[in-house]
Amino acid sequence: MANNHSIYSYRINDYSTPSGWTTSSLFDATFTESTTSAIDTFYSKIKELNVLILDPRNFRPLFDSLHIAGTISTDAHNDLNHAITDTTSIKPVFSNLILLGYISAVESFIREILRRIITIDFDARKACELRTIAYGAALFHTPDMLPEALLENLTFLSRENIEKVLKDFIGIVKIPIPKNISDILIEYENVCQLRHCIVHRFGKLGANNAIKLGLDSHGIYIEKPIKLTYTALQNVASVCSNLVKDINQFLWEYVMMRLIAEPVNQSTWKRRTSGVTWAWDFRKDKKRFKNYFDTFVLTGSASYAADVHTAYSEYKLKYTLLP
Amino acid sequence: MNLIDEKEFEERSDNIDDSDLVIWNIENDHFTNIQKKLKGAGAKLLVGPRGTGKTHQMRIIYQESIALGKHQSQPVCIFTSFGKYYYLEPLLVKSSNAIPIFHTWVLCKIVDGLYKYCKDINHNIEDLNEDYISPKLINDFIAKAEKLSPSELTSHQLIHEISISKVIALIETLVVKLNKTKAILLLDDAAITFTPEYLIEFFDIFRSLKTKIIAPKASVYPGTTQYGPRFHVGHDAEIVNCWLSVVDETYIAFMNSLIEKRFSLYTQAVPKDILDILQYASFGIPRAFISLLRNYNSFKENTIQANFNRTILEQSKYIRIEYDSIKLKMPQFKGVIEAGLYFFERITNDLREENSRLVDEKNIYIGIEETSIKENHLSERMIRFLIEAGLLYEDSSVRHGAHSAGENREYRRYIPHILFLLLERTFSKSRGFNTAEILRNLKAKNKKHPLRRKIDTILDVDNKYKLKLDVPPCPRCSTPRLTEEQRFCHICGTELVKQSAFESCMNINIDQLPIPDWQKQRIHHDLKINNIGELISKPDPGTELRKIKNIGIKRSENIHKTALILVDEFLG
Repeated sequence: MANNHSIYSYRINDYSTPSGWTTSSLFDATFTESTTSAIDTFYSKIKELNVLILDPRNFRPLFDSLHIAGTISTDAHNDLNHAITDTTSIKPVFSNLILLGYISAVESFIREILRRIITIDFDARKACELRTIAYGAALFHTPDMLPEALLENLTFLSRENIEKVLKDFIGIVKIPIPKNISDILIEYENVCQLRHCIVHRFGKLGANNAIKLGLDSHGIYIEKPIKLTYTALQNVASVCSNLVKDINQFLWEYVMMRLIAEPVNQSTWKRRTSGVTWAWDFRKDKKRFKNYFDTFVLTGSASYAADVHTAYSEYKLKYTLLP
Repeated sequence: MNLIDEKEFEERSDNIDDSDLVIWNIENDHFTNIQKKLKGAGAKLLVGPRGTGKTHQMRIIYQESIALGKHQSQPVCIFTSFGKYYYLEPLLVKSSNAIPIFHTWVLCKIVDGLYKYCKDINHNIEDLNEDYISPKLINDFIAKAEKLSPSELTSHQLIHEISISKVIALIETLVVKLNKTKAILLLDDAAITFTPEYLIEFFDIFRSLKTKIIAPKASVYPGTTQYGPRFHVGHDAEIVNCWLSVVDETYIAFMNSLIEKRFSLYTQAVPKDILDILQYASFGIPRAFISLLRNYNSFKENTIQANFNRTILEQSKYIRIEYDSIKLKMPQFKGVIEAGLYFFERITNDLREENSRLVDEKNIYIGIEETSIKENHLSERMIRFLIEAGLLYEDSSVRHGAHSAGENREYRRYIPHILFLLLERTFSKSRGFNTAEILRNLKAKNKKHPLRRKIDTILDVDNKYKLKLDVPPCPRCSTPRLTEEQRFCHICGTELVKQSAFESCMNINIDQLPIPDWQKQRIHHDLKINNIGELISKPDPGTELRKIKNIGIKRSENIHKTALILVDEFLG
C-alpha cells in the first residue's frame, strides 16, 4: 500500500496552478537609451510617479471628454473632479509603492550619471580601470553602457555607501563630499528605512528601522504601518530631487574643475600645470564642452535654464583667475 | 510742540537710550507682574501685538541686570532680537539646508547676546576657555546671514561647530564663573510668523534651551498657534499676556500711569475727555497711544471735534496700511487677508448698529460660532491675521443656547479695535460731538451676551471665495495647486517653485525709489544696476554710487538710506 508511506497531506489550502511565468518576454527590446542628461531622465521618472498618485489610470481625460460631449452633467463632472483631486483618499499601500518608485529613480540616476561621466571623462575612467566586470556584461553591453556593469553589485541605500561610490568611481580626492549633500543623505537614509519596511515587512515599522530612525521618537510606532499622506509623499519626492540636484551640481563642479585644476587641500585648487586640453576658443572647444554640459544640464525645469555659452565663458574666466 | 522734549515721542523702545529706560518705567500691577514673570524661573512667552511694550519690558530687565552687574542675586541676562529673520527667507526656496543655517543663526545671535552681556558687565569672555567660540566667527556668520547674501553660508565653519548643547554649556559656564545661580534669555521679536518653517525650528531650539539654570523668554504675537509638533504652549512655556484688554479693570489705571510717568506735561494741552477717549482708542497698545497724542497735538484743526476726528482717521489709515502690508510678506494669503479686512469692517458695522439700540449699556463683543470657523481652516487663519495685527482681541469662549434643545453652541468672543468703533461713531447716540456722551457709553456696562454671528453670515459670496490660497499655478500646465505644501504638480508632475517674497522685494526696480529721476537714470546707465537687490548687495553701495558724476557723500548716503528704508518697510 503505497499510501502507507506518504506523509500527512490534508489540504489546508487549495491547489496551486501553472503561472505562465517567463521573464524573457517581459522587457521592451525596442527601448533605446535617451540622450538627455541624467537629471532630465530622473525628472521624467519622477513626473511619471507624481502623476500616478492621484489619477493612476488616467481617468481625467476620459471624464473631461464625456463632459464636453454632454454625456455627463457639469455637476457630475465637478463631483468626479473633486473625487480625483481628494488628497485624503489615497490608499496607503499605493503611497508606499510610489515611495519605492522614487528611490528607484534616485538609484538609477546615480548609476546613469556615473556611467556617463566614466564614458566621457579621462580621470574618472582611470579611477575605474582596475575594476572588474562580469564576462557576460562585457559580451552584451555596448561600449558606452559598459560602465553600468561596474555598478551592478552596488546598492545606494546608505550615506556612507553613496559617498564612497561617488568618491571611488569619479576618483574624487582631497575634496570632501559637501556638507549639504551629507545632510540630504541623512534624510535620504531615513527614506530608505521606510523602503525597508515596505519591501520586507509590507509597510510595518521594524525594530531595527525604528532604531535607525531614532527610538525615542519612533519607538512607539514599532509594528505599526506607515501612513504616508499626500504631503508626506511630496516631501519624500522633494528629498529625492534635492539629493539628485545637489549631487549633479557637485559632480559637475568637481569634474569641470579637475579638467583645469588640481585640489591642493579641502577647499582650494591650483591651476593644472599640464594636461589642460581646452583651446579656450568656443568654436574649437564646443563639441567637447557640450558633451560635458549635456551630461549634467537640467533642461526640463520650468523655473531655471542653464545656458551653454554662459557656462563656457564663466569656465574660461575661472581658468584665468586660478592661482 | 516746544513744551515737549522730542524724546518723549520715541515710540519704538529699540530707539530709546538705555539711560532713559528706567526713568520711563511704569509702575502698576500689570507691568510689575510681567517683570516678575520675565525675571523668574521657567520658559515664558510674552504675548502682544506690535507696540504693546514687549521690547520695553525686556530692555528694562536687561538694564537692571547690567546695573547690578556682578551682584550674585542677579541672573545672567542675555538679550537678543530675531527681528531680522526675514532676511533668511530666500534660503527656504533655494537651499535644501535653509533650516540648519537658520538654526545656526539663532544660536549665533544668542552667543552674541552673551558676549554683549559680558562686555557690559566688564567680564573677559576669553575666561570661558573650552566653551569659547570666537566672536569674530559669530559676527561673521550673523553679518553674512543678514547681509542679503546668505548663499555664502552653506559651508560656513559654524554650521558644524555650534550646537544647542554647546550654547547651553557656554551659558552655564558663565553662570558658574560669575558665581550666579541662573540665566535668563530674553529673545525679542521671536514672532517668526511670516516663515512658518523657521517658526517651528525656533521653538524647537527654545524648548531645548530650557534647563534648571537657563530660563528662556520669547516675545511673540498673539494668535500664533503653529509653534510646531514638538512645542506645546502651556506645557513647554507659560503665556504672559503683555496686551492688556480694554475691559480689564486695571486698564484705565494702566493707561493713566503711562500719562503720569511719560506725558504729565503733555496732557495740559489735551482736554481731559479727549485724553480719556484716546486711552480707549489706543486699545491697550502704548505705542498707539503715544502716536495718537502726538498726532492730536500736531494737527491744527479749528475745533476739538475736527482735530479729534482727524487724529482717529489718520491712525486708522496707518493701522490699515500696516495690516495690508502683510500681503507682501505672505502673498499666498492675499485673499485671506483681504477677506479679513471685509470681515473686520462688517463686525464693526454690526456692533455699531447693535449699540445704537442699546440704552445704558454697550456691547463691544462679537461672538463667532466655533463650528462655523472650523468649516474652513482658512477662516481660522483669517481671524488669526486680525489678532496678530492687534485688530481683534480674543477673549474666552462662551456657550450659548439651551443644552437640552441641542442648541448649545460655542462662541469665540472677540473685541474689535476700539478706534474703529469710534470711527463708526458707535458710542455717539446724539447727532453732535459730545465727548462726555462718548465717554459715558465707553464706560457703560457691557451687555451680557456677545453679538452672535457665523462666518457665513458675515462674509458675502465674493469674500468667501477669497478664502483660498493664492499660490502660483503649475508653471508648465497652469493647473492650480491643491495644497500650499504641494511640491509637484498632480497633473503633469512638474516640480512647483516656491515664490520668495523677499526676492520680489529685491527685484523692485530702482525707478520705484523716491529719488530724483536723473539719479535713477545714472544708476541704471553708469552702474548697470537695475534693482534694489543689486544695489544693496554691493560690498559698499556708497562707494559704488559715488562713481556717478555729481553724486558725493551726501547724495550717495541718501540713496543708500532710501533703498534700505524701502527694504525695511517691506520686511519690518
